[in-house]
Amino acid sequence: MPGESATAQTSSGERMPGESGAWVFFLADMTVFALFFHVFLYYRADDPALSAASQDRLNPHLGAANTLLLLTSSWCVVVGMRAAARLDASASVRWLVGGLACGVGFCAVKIYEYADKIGQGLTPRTNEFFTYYFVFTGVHFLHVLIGCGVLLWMISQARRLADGRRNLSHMETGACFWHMVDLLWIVLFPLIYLCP
Amino acid sequence: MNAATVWVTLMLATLFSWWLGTGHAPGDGTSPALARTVILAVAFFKLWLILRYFMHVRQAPRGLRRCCDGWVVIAGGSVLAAALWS
Repeated sequence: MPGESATAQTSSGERMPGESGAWVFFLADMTVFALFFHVFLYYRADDPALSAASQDRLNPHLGAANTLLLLTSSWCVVVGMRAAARLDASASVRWLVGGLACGVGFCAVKIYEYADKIGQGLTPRTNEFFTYYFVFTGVHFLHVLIGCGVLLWMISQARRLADGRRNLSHMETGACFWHMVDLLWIVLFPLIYLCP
Repeated sequence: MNAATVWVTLMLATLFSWWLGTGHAPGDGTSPALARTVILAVAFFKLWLILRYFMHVRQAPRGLRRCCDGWVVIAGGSVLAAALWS
């Protein structure tokens, strides 16, 4: 049916965003990152002087730019999914491509940042702060790369909306994955780059 | 709140955290623990907005809403406590 919602809506107006099984993964992944946050705070408390000196070597402006890119990307994906629910293929593709472009922008900034740090001789072996910096942001970066692949797949699905073929529930699961990637960075950025 | 309003709120909150975290905390006597806690509280508020409005948890069945709210309270509360007392 044209205009069919992504997932079934109950009489009370409740609606599962995406597939329920995917939420088990999302909450588990978020919990692993919550443990990362605690590990990092524990390390900071253990050696605040070295941690502060190491944090001064990071560029918070690049981290902030990346946060703005991911937030904008998430917003584009929300608007793109709304267009997909209306079966407006061209608008959906346009917004999802915008979301992907912001994701690629995040990757470019992150690669520049890693290259800059390594160029300064700062590697995961420099000290504990940089071990955590590279491991935690690296695991997140892997999520962003997977997310960019998911967005590419969503764009291919959005193109098919014009033929009346749709897979909105799967697309919505992909959108939720991308928002989760955004949400994890929302805490990682201030924790690693900003917190005094 | 519509998606554009949420997006603008998230962008402004990010700029506030960035401003606060790059040496603009009001007064020289601001405790680092307090600044750290405020910055992380803003981060968890942003995270909650994304869950609720971008991931559509506010329209989700009660079980998922409770799981997500519970995660924010437990993860956010424990991280803020660790930030304040570390």
